Amino acid sequence: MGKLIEGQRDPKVVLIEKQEAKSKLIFGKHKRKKIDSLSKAELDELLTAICQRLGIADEAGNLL
Amino acid sequence: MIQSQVNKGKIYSGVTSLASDISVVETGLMQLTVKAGSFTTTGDKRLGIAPQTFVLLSDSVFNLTSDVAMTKFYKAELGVDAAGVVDVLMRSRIDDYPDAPVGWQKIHDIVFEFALPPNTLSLDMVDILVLTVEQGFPAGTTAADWQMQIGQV
Repeated sequence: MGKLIEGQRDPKVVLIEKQEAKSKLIFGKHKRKKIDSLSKAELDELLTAICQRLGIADEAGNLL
Repeated sequence: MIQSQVNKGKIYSGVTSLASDISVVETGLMQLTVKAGSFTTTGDKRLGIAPQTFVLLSDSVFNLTSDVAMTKFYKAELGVDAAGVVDVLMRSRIDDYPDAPVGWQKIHDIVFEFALPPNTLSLDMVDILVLTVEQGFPAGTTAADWQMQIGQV
């Protein structure tokens, strides 16, 4: 007797957590650097992280 | 650690028919057992609902797990399943609790929601509040010491 139902993670919440963790890493990597000192690849990475954090880009970096 | 104190799970039946001898014990580092017993509701005289007694025939054993990164929550309730069998439903959540099975009817909370921090390996360090019902009134008090809640008609 006794029923145990384990709650499943909400995929949307998990995605947000992943994006937040990833963007934190990226923000941390570029912390205190002047924006005009960043390479195009670094700027792309930063812009993607910002857009994901704002919820206007998906995990792959496509604007929604 | 399992606890039940006034305002933290323990209630007095006063002059009502409320009663419960269902108990909860730790039977392993991460295991809770809800012991068989019976629960009697108060009913509602104004609505013409008589008190009902529900019998949990056997112990319900639950093996709990913590998450590696997130705080996980558990709670358990006594209820009646779709087949009319009195049972205990334990649910966990990190985000939201899953729905109860179709046909499940809740009778009362038995284990109130508690949190397992990430990587918890033993329930000893976790405060787990459970329902206990004492007959009558707290020691040294009578019905006259308690304001009766009669509701609005």
